[in-house]
Amino acid sequence: MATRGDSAGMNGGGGVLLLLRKDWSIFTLRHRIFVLTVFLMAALQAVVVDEAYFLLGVALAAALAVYVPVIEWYQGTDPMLHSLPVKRGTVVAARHVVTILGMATAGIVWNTTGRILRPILGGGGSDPAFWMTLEGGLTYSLAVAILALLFFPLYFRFGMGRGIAAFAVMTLVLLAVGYGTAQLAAGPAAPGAVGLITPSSVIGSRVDTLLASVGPAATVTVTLAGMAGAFGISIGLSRRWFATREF
Amino acid sequence: MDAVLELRNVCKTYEGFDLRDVSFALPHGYIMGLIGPNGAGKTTLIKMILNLVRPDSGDIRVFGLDAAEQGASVRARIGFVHEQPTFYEGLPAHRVATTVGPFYPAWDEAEFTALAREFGLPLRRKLKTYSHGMRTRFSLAMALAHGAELLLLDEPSSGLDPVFRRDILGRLSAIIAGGNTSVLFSSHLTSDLDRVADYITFLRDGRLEFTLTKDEVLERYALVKGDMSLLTAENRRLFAGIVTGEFGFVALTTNVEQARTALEGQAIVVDRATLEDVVYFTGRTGEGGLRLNGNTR
Repeated sequence: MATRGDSAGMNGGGGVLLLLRKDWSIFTLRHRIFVLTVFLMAALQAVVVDEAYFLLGVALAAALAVYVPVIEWYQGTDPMLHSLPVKRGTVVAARHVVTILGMATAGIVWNTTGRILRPILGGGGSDPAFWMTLEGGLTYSLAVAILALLFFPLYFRFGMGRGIAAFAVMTLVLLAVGYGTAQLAAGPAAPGAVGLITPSSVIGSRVDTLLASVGPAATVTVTLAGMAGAFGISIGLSRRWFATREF
Repeated sequence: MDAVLELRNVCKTYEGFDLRDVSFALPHGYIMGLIGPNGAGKTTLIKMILNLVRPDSGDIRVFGLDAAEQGASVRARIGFVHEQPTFYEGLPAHRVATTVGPFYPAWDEAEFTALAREFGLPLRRKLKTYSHGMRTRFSLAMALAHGAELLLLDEPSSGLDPVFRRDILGRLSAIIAGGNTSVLFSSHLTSDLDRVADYITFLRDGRLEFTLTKDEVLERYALVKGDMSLLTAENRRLFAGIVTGEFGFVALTTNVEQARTALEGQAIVVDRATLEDVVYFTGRTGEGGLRLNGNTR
């Protein structure tokens, strides 16, 4: 029986849905179990340290966002995918939708797991932990959006291998600049006063300030706007750079 | 001419390779063979038609549409077989088909299943267990199951056994006979093209040597065999390529009558050239010609 659609559908919402379906097919049960197992093993160690467990949540979201592109890169299926009747802009849109879905899924799994494991394993941090608070949730969401903004344009421009390399270099440069700036602000009399730069120290402190000054509702709105901005810029840059990519 | 595919002055430069001013047209309902040595630019051309690679300059129109600007609409009507058919290795073949097929507006799952059965493909098996030949067959079944109006086949017969190769060629001829489909078929197995191609486009070092009907190619080119003493500097100019050996020379000429006139009264043999001869001899000029020990052929 023929399955007919229309070409506009392949490149609008219909195209995004087909690409989501494709990702779900590739991310088989075996892969899902693998990711969950690795996450749980790491969670058993990390849950007792708030900062580490927060980073684990961000890492899980990132893993869900890029798991299928890594498989596609490893198997060399990009030429096949882009020989199909789907626009590159649709591919970019679908990848960002997957990231948002991955962020939501990871957030639920991570938070639920943490809430179960922490009382059992006795997390030694503040109670409630940073990642259990509204501030932690907003910081997590912003951190994932910023990671997407930093990574996806490079991935779509250079592909997975060179994209990861460029992302790593850029992240190191940003961290170095951030650390240097913070150290300068602290003044020469206080060497080593700047601690480790982490999402919670950079983003979380700003979210905290915002919460204290404008309240939860406005902070959530500002955070959502920030996320939308980050994803919007990422989509715009990715589309522009992906258009010039060759396979 | 009602061209389904038209390239005009297409250029593309990479480090160490450039495709220069390639122009040809594939009329509706015909098979065109794209031939040339490795590295001639055949795969690059096919990738440009699919918009996987962008030309630096020139124009590619498929079904009258711009292949770059209206790429998705163009690809919806194209069936492709890449040189290295790569799909999702970890999935069973039927799952790959149901995942990839629906991207095509005219995807026909029943047709795909029938083709897979005909091609002897075990659809329950994962693609990573398929041989190269099976992957090519799978790719071909995918290409044929959505009513493609243009088939782009990049070395489809490599990795296929001779029996299946012949079957595929027969099927291509049958598809063409239907009148709705055209085929651009890149192959270094020129014997395949001898069987089915209506047009031949020959690329060498990124340059278009010719684009002609197969009959024109076979009429225009001929092999001339003779004694080495006939291979004077003047006579060498008659030939597009020469192979010399202990027992004489074999040369390809593009003008049989001129060669016959120039060598009139001499002991020469003139044979029809096959497509393989044309590819093999072209570019093997007199002085730089390949020197073989013993027989030249």
